Amino acid sequence: MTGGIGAQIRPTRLSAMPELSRDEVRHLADLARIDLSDAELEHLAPQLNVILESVASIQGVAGPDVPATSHPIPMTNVFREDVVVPGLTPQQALAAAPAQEDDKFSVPRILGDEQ
Amino acid sequence: MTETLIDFDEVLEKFDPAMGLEVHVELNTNTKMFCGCPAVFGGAPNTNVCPTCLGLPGAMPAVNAKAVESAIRIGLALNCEIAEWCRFARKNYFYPDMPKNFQTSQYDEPIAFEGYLDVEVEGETFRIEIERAHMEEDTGKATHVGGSTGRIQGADYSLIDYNRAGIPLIEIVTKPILNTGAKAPLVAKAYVSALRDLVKALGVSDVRMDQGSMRCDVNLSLAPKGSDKLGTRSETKNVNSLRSVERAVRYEMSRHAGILLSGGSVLQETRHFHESDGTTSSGREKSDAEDYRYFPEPDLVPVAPSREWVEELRATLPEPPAERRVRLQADWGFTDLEMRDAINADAIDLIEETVAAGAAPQAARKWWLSEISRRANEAGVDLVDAGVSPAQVAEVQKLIDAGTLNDKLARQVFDGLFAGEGTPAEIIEKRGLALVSDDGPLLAAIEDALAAQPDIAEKIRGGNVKAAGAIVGAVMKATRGQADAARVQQLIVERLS
Amino acid sequence: MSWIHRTAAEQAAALASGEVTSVELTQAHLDQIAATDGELHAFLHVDAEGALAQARASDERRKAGNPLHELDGVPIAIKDVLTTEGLPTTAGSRILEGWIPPYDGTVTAKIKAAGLPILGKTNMDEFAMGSSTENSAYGPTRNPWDHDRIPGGSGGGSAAAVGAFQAPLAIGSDTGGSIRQPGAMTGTVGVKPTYGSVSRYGVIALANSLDQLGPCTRTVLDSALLHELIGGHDPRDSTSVPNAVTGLADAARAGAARDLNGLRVGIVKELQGDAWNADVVERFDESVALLKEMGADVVEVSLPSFVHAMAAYYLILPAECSSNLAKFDAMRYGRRVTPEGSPSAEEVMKVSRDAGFGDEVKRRIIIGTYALSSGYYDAFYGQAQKIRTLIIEDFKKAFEQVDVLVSPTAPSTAWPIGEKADDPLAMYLQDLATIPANLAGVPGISIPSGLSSADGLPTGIQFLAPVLEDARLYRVGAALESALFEQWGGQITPAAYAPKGAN
Ligand SMILES: [Mg+2]
Ligand SMILES: [Zn+2]
Repeated sequence: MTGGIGAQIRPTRLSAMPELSRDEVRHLADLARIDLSDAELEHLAPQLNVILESVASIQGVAGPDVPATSHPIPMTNVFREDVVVPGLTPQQALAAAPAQEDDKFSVPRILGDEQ
Repeated sequence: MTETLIDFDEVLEKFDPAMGLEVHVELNTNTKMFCGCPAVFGGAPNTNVCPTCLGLPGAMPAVNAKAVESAIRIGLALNCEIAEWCRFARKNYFYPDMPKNFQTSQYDEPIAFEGYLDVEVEGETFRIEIERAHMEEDTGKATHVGGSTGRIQGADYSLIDYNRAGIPLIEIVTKPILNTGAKAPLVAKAYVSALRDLVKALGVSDVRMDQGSMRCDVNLSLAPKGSDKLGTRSETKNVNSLRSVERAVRYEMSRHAGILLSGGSVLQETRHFHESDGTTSSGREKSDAEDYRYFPEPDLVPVAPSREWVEELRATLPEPPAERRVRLQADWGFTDLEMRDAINADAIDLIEETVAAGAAPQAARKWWLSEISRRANEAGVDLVDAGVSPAQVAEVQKLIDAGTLNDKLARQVFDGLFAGEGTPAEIIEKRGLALVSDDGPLLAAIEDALAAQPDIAEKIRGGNVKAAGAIVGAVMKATRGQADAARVQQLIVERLS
Repeated sequence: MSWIHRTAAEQAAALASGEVTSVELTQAHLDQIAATDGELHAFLHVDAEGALAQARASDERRKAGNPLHELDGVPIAIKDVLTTEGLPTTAGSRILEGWIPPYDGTVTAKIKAAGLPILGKTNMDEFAMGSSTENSAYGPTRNPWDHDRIPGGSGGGSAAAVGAFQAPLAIGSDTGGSIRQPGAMTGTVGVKPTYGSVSRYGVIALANSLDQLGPCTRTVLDSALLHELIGGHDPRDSTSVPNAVTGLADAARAGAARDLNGLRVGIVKELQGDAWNADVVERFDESVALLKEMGADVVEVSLPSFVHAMAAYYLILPAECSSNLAKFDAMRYGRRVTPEGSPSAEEVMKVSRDAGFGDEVKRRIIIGTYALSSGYYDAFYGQAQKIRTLIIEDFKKAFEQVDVLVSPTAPSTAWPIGEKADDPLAMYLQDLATIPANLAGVPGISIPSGLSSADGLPTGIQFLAPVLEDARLYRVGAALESALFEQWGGQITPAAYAPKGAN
């Protein structure tokens, strides 16, 4: 038998699919807080485009009448009673901290403003 | 940077202000929004934390039922629709005080939406339309070390306490508030004040602006007078008192006008408000396209409050604060001025409880607004924290009505109460404060006073009853204030007639 | 035959009859690990001392007549994706190197509460991203059948440990096939339970709406026993279903009677064709013939939306994981890399994440960040979630016609280490058959279907059942296993690890 899924995954180029430029990849990496070097960008950008092309095949498959599913098993109203349960001690909380001071997590100077 | 500030009247001649108010209310639930840690901020650092609110790998959230209930009650009190089905979403951005680097919040599906709150300013009613009220979680608290000011800019590093991370917040967002003109600053203040009273009446939050359990962000923009197009807005963050809300609006109106009149354009940015001088300063540039990459929180299932539950909660709503005030003023017989003073002093609840404990309304008002207010002011605390309970005030007043105390002695009883010396009865006992009710000692003191001042005694005998005041004074002095002045007066007249 | 070559059920029975102690069993497995793991690298961390202490406690309970569970005293290995208090948990990532969780995941707690000594933590692709275990920051695990080949992934460590008799039982996690595909690659059994039926609390999330823990074992009955132990509702996992997880071992025992009369089996039309190697299909067809012999009615069914499953999966997963992995920022835990000068928190986060994450992790984070960006959300993430609806509907329709669905587990046998390392798409294709179950939340099992006539390596067959009907998998799986064991004269085992005198 021929066809099947395997044949559909290897993309034939989709004109609708915008290529990610290196600048766009750098912007996404910035948003995701990953410091990509030029060499890494060189290496990753083409791979990302291949992946994006292959997943772009789903565009337009499901129309507006199809509802989105975010949980495979539909449930609603799962709540917890408002009752205190024991948590961690400060020692446990801070045990893995890269740096700490006065039982607080020590972090480098913060550039941005609070949201 | 010096700003060109335009005189307020001139601003109003040329521009119409538009405001948007975002208020964050910290709920007073026992536990956090998504974990069982105590929802208590303050105390030793990182003591109220667990894998979930620390964002440890593998930990998962679980929704606090009480927080959802509180959110629905707030929504109902604000005349909102309650969603039949809504979800939590992740708001993705990196910040060290946020353990997961996303805030679990609500996005396009808030629990409550499309409501309003009416507020009154100088006899005019403004309907503030509510766009939404949604559930989310608070962040941890950073303190900045090094640099000159302890502020974030210029700090060497920061220390983070996650006790606050995950405390439930309800964010209440208004629609643009238009057509308020010169009253814009007062309307903003009145709205936040009314919202505070409403939430307080619901009992779901301490709503202490000074402690951050209620925080207000003020969005403001100006449009040329008569234009219906909104201008670029600034967002002044964390304005933490009612007075500051009013001042922040006023300042931003003048600042925006200064920029616009000089041909500049307003930057879309966050601003910081400074209590000290009522100014704002530039924070973070903010674009509409800010990409939080919202998506439904996959670790939680949708919230779908049944209509039965919503109606059950609606039945628990307290009387709206505005209606309650009208009712109380009528019940108490206060003048408008007396009522306004009581409201401004945050004394309505206290007076109501004192009256409920048996005191006359005017007496209750008198004690809370004079003696106790004075002491609270001196101590720099709110009236409610002054150290006296409504029941104690009612008890003191009962003793005055019974003739056991006079006002002067009552003040000494309050001294004892503030000093934590026990109940009013115990204080009277310990300090020996009760009025002398036995005539014997009083008559002896009267004899002494008359003997010491024979000329006065003569005048009284001659029909000058007013002259008895001097003898009364002497008797009061001799009994160290513990005599009932009216009784002394009566005894003097009897003795000399 | 030494104790390690017995099944978990046999080991449990021997403990119950007093034939062996837990200390003996545990020590035997630790010895096997010591002898073989230098080469195999199935474990990232071995806790000999802790396991023996738990074994001693188990023996005392047995002596006092108070075992905690049928499997009390039978040792187990845990995939490094699940938190274990006091034992390192890294998810195969450099960024979590040395992290010792201060809490137990729910399944860890259940295992401890049942008295199973925990041998250690097994290797995996970094954050479970991969199908070969080559993406582990700590080096690949080797396939017990051929040390130059991959053991499948992401749970290659758990599958290899079970296949090489280092442990009779192991915990795996399956987001798109990470339990079932390594099962197929190593000739072992792997089960992905119904979504929500095993708690995810303590599982370092890859894609929350797809992840599910499950058993890795050498027999269907052993999987059933472990599945019942770890399953059930957990209030700490809000996506956990309320249903009890019972009747699985009974179903496996009943299945071993090989009576499949009346069982309707559907061969998935979309999971056939060019992408499947002939040697895999050859074994698959034999198994299908055996099912028919046992009385099953076998038909072909079509689930047309399956062709989009792969694309939907590779959007949903990166989207969710890009957000899940944001917490690894070197502020509260994990490896902090501080560049020179006086860097800001933001710079330290960026440099630490660059140094701490491997290529595949970076690729998926960036794709996910893109797919969630405003302007692209509807076209990508939103669309993928709709595909999910279509796939669920396909399953519903199919299960109106048949009781279980069947396909090969993976398109090929284990490939040489390094072959697909820099070709992400080639790697992604390995999960064609396993992904739909994760998107729809349905349960799936992979059992060995034999050895390839081309390379002598194991092949796997997968069954899928409707949501919460996990018991069906055990019935049909045990039936086929029993028929195959009869043909083979017992389990198939890698020559280098086979008990003396067998194979
Ligand atoms: Mg918010
Ligand atoms: Zn917590």
